[in-house]
Formats: sequence, structure tokens, C-alpha cells
Amino acid sequence: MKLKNKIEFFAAPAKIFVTVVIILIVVMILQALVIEIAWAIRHETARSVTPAAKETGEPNEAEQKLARIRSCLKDFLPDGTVHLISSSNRRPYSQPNESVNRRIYDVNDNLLWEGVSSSPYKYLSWADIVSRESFRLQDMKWLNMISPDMCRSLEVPIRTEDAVVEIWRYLPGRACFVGYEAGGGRIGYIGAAGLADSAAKAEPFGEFVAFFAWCPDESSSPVLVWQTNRRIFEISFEDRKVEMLCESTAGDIQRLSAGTWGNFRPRNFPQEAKKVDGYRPLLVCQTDQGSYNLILRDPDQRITVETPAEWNLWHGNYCRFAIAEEGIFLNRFWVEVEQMPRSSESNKDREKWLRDYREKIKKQRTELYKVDDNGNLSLLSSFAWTTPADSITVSIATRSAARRYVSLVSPALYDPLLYFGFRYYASLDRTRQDEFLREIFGMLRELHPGLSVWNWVLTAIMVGFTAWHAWPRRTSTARLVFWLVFVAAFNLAGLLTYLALNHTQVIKCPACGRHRGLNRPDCVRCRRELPTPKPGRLDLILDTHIKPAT
Amino acid sequence: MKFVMLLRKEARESAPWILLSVIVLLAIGGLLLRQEARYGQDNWRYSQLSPGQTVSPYMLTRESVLTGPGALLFTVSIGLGLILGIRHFWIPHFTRTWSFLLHRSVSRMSILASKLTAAAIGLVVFLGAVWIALYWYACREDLFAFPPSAKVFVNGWVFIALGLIAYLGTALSGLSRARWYTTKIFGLAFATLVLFVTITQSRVSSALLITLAGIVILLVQIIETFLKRQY
Amino acid sequence: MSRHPNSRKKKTMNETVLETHNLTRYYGSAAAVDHLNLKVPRGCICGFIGRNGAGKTTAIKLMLGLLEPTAGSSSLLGCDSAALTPAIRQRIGYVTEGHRLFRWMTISELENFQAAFFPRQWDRKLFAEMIEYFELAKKRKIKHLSNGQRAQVSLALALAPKPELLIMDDPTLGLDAAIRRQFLEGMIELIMRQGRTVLFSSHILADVERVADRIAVIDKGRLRASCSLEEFRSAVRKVVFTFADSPPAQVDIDGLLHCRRSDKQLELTLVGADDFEVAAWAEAVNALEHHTAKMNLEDQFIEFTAPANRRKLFQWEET
Repeated sequence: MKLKNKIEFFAAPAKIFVTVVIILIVVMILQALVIEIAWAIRHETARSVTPAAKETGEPNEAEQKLARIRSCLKDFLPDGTVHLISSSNRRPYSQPNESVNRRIYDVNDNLLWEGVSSSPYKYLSWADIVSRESFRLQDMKWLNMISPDMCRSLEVPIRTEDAVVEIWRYLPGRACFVGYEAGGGRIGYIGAAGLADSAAKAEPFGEFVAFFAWCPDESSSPVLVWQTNRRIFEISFEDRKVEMLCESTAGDIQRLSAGTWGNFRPRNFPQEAKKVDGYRPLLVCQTDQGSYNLILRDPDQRITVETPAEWNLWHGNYCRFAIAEEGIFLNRFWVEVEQMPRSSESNKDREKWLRDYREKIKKQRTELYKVDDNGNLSLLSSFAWTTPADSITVSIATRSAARRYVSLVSPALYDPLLYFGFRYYASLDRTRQDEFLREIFGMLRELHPGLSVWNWVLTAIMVGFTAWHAWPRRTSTARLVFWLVFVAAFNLAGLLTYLALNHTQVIKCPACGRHRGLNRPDCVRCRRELPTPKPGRLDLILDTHIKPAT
Repeated sequence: MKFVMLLRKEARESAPWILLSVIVLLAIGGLLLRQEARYGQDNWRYSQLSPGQTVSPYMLTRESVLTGPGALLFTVSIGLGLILGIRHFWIPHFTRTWSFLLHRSVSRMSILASKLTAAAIGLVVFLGAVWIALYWYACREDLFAFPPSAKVFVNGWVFIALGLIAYLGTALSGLSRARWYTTKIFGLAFATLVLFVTITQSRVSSALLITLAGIVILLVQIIETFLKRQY
Repeated sequence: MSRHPNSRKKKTMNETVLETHNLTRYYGSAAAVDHLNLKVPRGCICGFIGRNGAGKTTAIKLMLGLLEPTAGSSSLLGCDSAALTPAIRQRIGYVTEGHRLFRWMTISELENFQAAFFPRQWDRKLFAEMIEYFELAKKRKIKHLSNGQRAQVSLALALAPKPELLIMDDPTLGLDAAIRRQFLEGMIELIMRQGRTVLFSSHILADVERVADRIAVIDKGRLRASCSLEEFRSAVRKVVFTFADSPPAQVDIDGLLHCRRSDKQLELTLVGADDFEVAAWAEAVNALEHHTAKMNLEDQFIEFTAPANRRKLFQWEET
């Protein structure tokens, strides 16, 4: 095969690939823009309107009380008593200690206390999700991005008062740390098994998920709690010590919460917590199987709490733990509505669920359980309240209507790609889930046609147009069939790609008078080559005596 | 001999731009590094770590001393790629010297190869040499307390590869005889897409793979377009 | 300078060095070159003439393999244009339209560049002589040269490798009369000495008349004439008939190209009509007298390529 033919063999699909990718991106952007513009024009915020307010324009006393209950913070005392705490002038993002006027009610709506200073009640303080304070997988990916301003690394310093004497740098490829002394010289590697003198000997920690850090009382060199898929480590670089706190044998660790741990304090923890008896250091590891591994210190203790499987069937199911002098407690919050359909299922199902959810009156519940040393739960108390329906669902309807129309020009390929591709993606280990792919699937979910008949009709029209356009320009049947299948698969993007690469001129065949392309020597209709024009009767072509070249 | 003459001609045309890029990178990059060496590297950040306090994890993320020169290399590499692409494939159209160049007693492929080789030498050899020099400087123990990571060094080479992508995208757009509002700019658009996808990768291996795929896709199209004899 | 046909060897005048076969090139739906069948024999100087946009440059680029034809083929020195080997290209000199050269190079650098592609046949002495003849300094950059000087450098670059076939696309474009004459004299001198074949396109028909021994006329992409210059000159003629009264309404003479009437005169442009036919027709229509008007090549070309229903551009053309 000549070089030119070989190159053409690869160049043609490359050209089609480049063109269709660019056109697909442009079409997707335009589709997304149309949806957003339509939504922006007709967007209204859904709001709850009570039946009384519907009639009179103002809620009555009972409805005002319900609204207050809904907006109150629900806190538990160790004996299971529920208090409702209302802050009348709380601003968004205000600090926990900021002076606000608080009112505390009991479940019968009796005012128990009011004031701006700290209340006399000692509520249970819950272990907080450390993701708010921690460095997560996504942050690590951003850190390691190739882009110039993200050329950063994770480095833990070992400091004296004046200077940094060592740094320990995280190596993402090896999942361990390498240490350097100031002024040069490598110290060694810290991995899951501790200090090693070479990278090969350092045991990798595993796929990174998150970490949080604090400085101990006696040092300004940070200590890390390092979370991977299945294990939690505590790493002290100054002491060159690595302790494995927890290893989950069944399921990945989904979420990590911490009470006091080392010098780590959750955001909303009482300031005096360190001095109060009973506040033992606590780490809670929630696995994706729904079990909770509690790690306690002083003394060391490990408790596994298995929550009932049926808890996961309810919408908004969320559990948190607290340590107090009286023992270990679990607070469960949930809504008496079945779970939303999984994200891989169709937009129609999800939109229907959202609509139904907004339109019905819902009961929300918070429960307090005591946890014994074997992880068994016993219900102490429960409190429920209702939320009225939202009367306006325009924002959902507008978006879904816009989506229905713009997805008519989406490729039919999106549906199988979403169905099979997303399932495979969701089955991957979360550390292997690419953010870029997540965004792509998000776009596909937004724009997929959902096996719409009108999408097929539009596709058929485009295929028909392509056939009409391609017929006089065809160079071979195989190519024609390829382009028809291509347009059928990619819909509008396919048609635009076809036109971009094939909109060559047609002329009227001088032999048969019908339209033909110029990319083959003969006419596709009559198979005759471009006829030689008749010589003019007065032309002076007098070179017949000249012999052709040998 | 003929190929060498073509290469010399392309290299002479590219030389001012390559030289300018090298000077800018060396001078400004070197200056940035010297500043880093002189004024210390982020010790102010660590001075905020105090005993008994929670540490914001972002205080533990640190820019490399080569971040500034790296960003400069990124810009220079892409800029040089664009300029060389314009010089090699757009300017001959405007100056109408294609006919003179193409009527050479060499294959058409040799003429194309000389342009690609000149660009590759300019980007990989010259910019690469400067990047190696800057990295070597940043590794000096007498100037910098801690050495930069090897990843930063590899990142620089990814930026140089992106410069090649910019060059090839510009070349393909320059060679295309389509109208600007149809597919003429698709070469540049694809190069831009590859650039964005590459810089969002967190693994170097993925970045290199994507860049390599981009180079191959653009290169085959350039060769095919060039050999098609449309100008 | 006049031609000296007898001083040139006419050996192998019948063998082609350049041949096209139904060469066609479309731009969009318009045919820039339409089934061109041209033969250029060895050893001749062929003027390739046509109006603006007739397709001359496109045809030349197709012949040189710089453009891909829509249909048809061409060959140079027996080699298909689509696959001209380096060895064949070394035997062909080409002067591009507008003398486009690398502006940043000096003349001497350009010489070295060009010479590299003709390793065994580059004549440095000839190039130096030509540059000296044109009074150019080798150290000067191309961008500092005038149009005429660039044309001279182009010619020197094309001739120094002593090509068998020299193709020049409008080589005297933009040159003043003195430089043009110098250019042509130089070209003729060298061509005559070396016995090369030349194909050159030009708008300036006085130059073509001066140097060419064959012409090829292309009109709207079609070849209208391919013959020797003498044949063309003798075939296209304008005959003026004078009548006692108004001229006849019908003009039915063979070879009629154009017909213009005035009160008592009829001006006919004829192709291929001999004196006998003209005289016989004059007698048949009772013309008082007739005579052949003097036409130079430019006049003949304009008449030959003018459309039948040519619209007058200015009013006074009527008189």
C-alpha cells in the first residue's frame, strides 16, 4: 500500500472523530444553554404554602407553630428529652458562639428558657463529618492536576520554633510519603508499615480518600488521620509513627466523623469539651454496607454498630454519634418517604419523584438510640413533625419541558451509553472514578432523549436528508451506508459532521443532465465521464502532427 | 543534503521565535527561581501552625518553587507552537511561496517532514533544555531547602508536548482549504480540547496518553492534507 | 530583439515534453480548466495566453503536480504530473507567478538553497553572470528588491540549473518596459544557446509575439488554439468591406467570428478564411472594395477571445 493510501486509511477516521467530537461539544453546549435560559426566564422558587395561607394569605396560629417547629434545631439531652431551639435573629453563616437570642421549647411547645447567653442545658455533642474540615479525594485530584497553577504537592512540615527542619511529601503514585531534611538529604519513606529506607520497601497506604490534621499540644508539627478505602491511619511524622486505627473488612469506608480526636475539634463542639469527663476521643467510620465502626480511646475500644437494612429505604436517612458520660448515643434523622430513584434511572422517574415529594405533606422524624458495648441499639426517644406541600413546582416543570425539547436533537446513542456506561462507572471503586467522566455522565443524564419517539422521527428525517444529499455525491455504496448509519447514531451532530466533511459541489452532468458530484471521475447516475466539450467551430487546434512523449 | 537544506531553511525561519522563547523562559524563569531562593519558600505559611490547633489541610499544600517557571513554560510552549504553526503553514499562503517551495526535487513528504522536524527541535530540544536547566537549578541544595518533586519535572515535559499539540493544530488549520466558518478552525479547536482535557488530568500517565493520542490524530490529518495537493 | 528561427535547431520539434489529456479542475461548480489537451513540443517557446481568470495559472500548477486535477492527467518529460519524481523535477525550471521568493533570504542564500536541489547541474558561473548582468548585489535581501529585480533573481534561479523545460507563469508581470525587454532578451539568449523548451504565460502579447514560436490560447478553461504563431497570425484576420449602400443584413461567409456594421461598411473578423474565399464573398455581395486591416497579436487575441454578444464598456466604442 502506498504511503498516501496508508495515511488516508487512518486520516479519514481521525478527521471524522475530530469533527464529530467538536460538533458534539458545540451542540451539547447549545442544548445546555437553551435549558438554562428557559429555566432562568420561567424560574420560580418553590415555596411551602399552607392551606390557611392559600385562603387568607396569612398562616394561622397552628400553622405558625408548625413552621417554628420545622425551623427549630432539635437537640437531645442524655436522658432522651428533646428540646426545640429557636434562634430568632440568627444570620446565615453566623458563628456558634455568636450572641443570638435563643428560645428553648419542649415537645409540647412550652417555653423552657430564653436568652442570649449559653443555655443551662448540656445537650449531646455529636461527632461531625470531617469532610468539611478534611482534604478529600477531589482535592487531591485537583492538587495533582497537570495545569500550571495546580502544580502543588502535599507536604507535612516538621518544625522547630524558627524553621522547618524536615518535610514529608506525599507521592500519589506510590501512596506513601518521602521525607527530606532541610538543606538536602532524603530521610526515608513512610508507608502503612512505618518508616522504610527505600520506596520499594515502603508499604503503600492504599487509595487515598481523605485526611484531616491537627497539631498536638506539645508540637507545631501536624499529625494526620489518613483515610483510604478500607483503612484509617494515624500518622505522626515527628515520631515516625504510623498506627492503623481501623480496617473495614466488609465494604469501603464511606464517611468519617470525629468527635474530639487528638487536638481535632469539630466545628460545633463546645469549647470546654476537653475538660469535661466522658468526652472520649471518638472516630466513626461508616461503610457503604451501612455499618458503623466506632473507634474510641481512653480506654481504647472498638464497637461495630449494624443499623437495620430497612433504614436505608427511607429518604434522608442519616445517623450521627455522640459520646457522653452517660454512654454512647446514636441520633437518626429520616423522612417518611421512600428513597429517590437511583441516579442511573431515567430523568422522568426522578422528576416524578421530585414532583410527588413536593406536592405531598411529609413527616420528618428524629430518634435517639443508646448504643451498648456490643453495638446494639435501644430506642430512647423519638420526635416527629410535618412539612406541608410546596405549591409551586414550576421550576421543575420548566426545566423538564426545555430538556424534553432540546433532547430531541440528542444522539440516540446517549441512552445505551448512559444505561451501560454509567452502570459500569458506578460499579468502579470511588477512587477510580474519574471526575471528568462524572461530568460527562451528568451531561448525558441531562440531555439523553430517553427513547423518545419524536427523537427517532427527527433522526429519520435527518437520515432522509442525508440520503438525498449524499446520493449524487456518493463515491461508493459502503461510504453512503456508513454516513447514513453515522447520522442515525449521532442525530444532529452526525448530520452537521456529515455536511462539514461532504458538502462538495454538485454540477449538472453534461451527459445526462442530472446532478452529480465531482469526487469521482464518472457520473453516479449515467456512469459516463465528464464529456469533452465540443470543440468550437473556429478553434485553432493544429498540433496533431506532434508526437506524444516516449 | 536536500532535506538538510530544507531543515536549515525552516530552522532559520523559526530561529528568531525559538530564540525569543528561550530567552524569555531562561531570563524570567531564572529570575523567579532566584526570588524563591532569596526570600524563602512559604515559611510564612508554616509559621501559622501552632501547638494544640486544628490544621486546615490547605496549609499543607505547597507550591513548588518551579510553579512560576512552570506556568511560564506552559505559556511559552503554547505560544511558540502557535507561532511556529503560523510561520510554517499560514505565512506561505499569505506570501504565496508554496509553489516555489513545493517545486523541489524532493518528495512532498520531505518538505513536510522538514517543517515538523524544525518545530519539534525548537520545542523539545530548546525549551526542553531550558526546562532541564531550571529544574537542575531548583535542585541545588545550597539554594533551596528542599528539592522539587519529580512530578513537576514531568509536568514541564507535558507542557512542551502541549506546545507540539498547539503547533499541529495550527498547522492543520493552516493547511485546510475549507472556509473559516466551517471546518478550517477545527484543527485549532481540537488542539484546544486536547489541551483542556490534558491539564485536568491528575495522573501524568493519562496526560501523556491523551497528548500522544492528540498528536497522532493531528499528525495523520496533516500528512493526508499535505499530500492531497490542494494548493 | 527579434527571433531568429533559423538559428535555432529544430531537431525533434515534433516530440512533446509537456502533454495534457482532458485535464480538468473544478473550483466549486465552476471549471477553471476544462478538458485541456495541450501538447508542447521539445525545443519550442510556447506562449500560453488567455484573459484574466481563463485558467492559465491553474493549468500550470496542474501540469507541475502542485494541484490535484478533478479529472484527466498531464505529463512532463514523459512522467505523470501526479507522480513527478525528484529526478524529473530537477529537469524542470519554474518561475512562479509574481516571483514569490523567501523575503528574508539574501540572493546568495537563495542561490545556496536552490543549488542544493540541483547537486550536479547547478551552474554557479551562469548564476553569477546573470546576477552581474542584472546588476544585483548578492548580499541584498529579497525583501529589499524591487519587483523587477525579484523577477531577475527568479529567472536566474530557474535558469542556473539548466533545465530542459522551463515553465514561467507571467514572468514579466509588474515589470516596466525596459526591464521586460531586458528579461526577454536574457531569456531568449540563454534559451537559444541551450536549446531548451519554454512554456510561459503572459498578458503582454507584444512579448509573446516577440519571442514565442507557438501559442496556446485558453478561454474560460478551454483550449481554443494550439498552433504555431505564424499559423495563428495568418488565420485570424479582420477584413473591411465597403458598400455603395448599406451592407447586407445576412453575412454567410465561412469562418465568421465577429461582424460590425456602420453605414456603408462591414467589418468582419474571420478565422481560417483565405483570400480567395474573401474575394468570392465580396463579389457575391457586391462590395465596392475590401481590404485586410492590420492587426497585431494583441488585436487578434482580443477578437479571437471576445464573446459573440460582447457588451460595450464605454459609449464611444460605438463609433
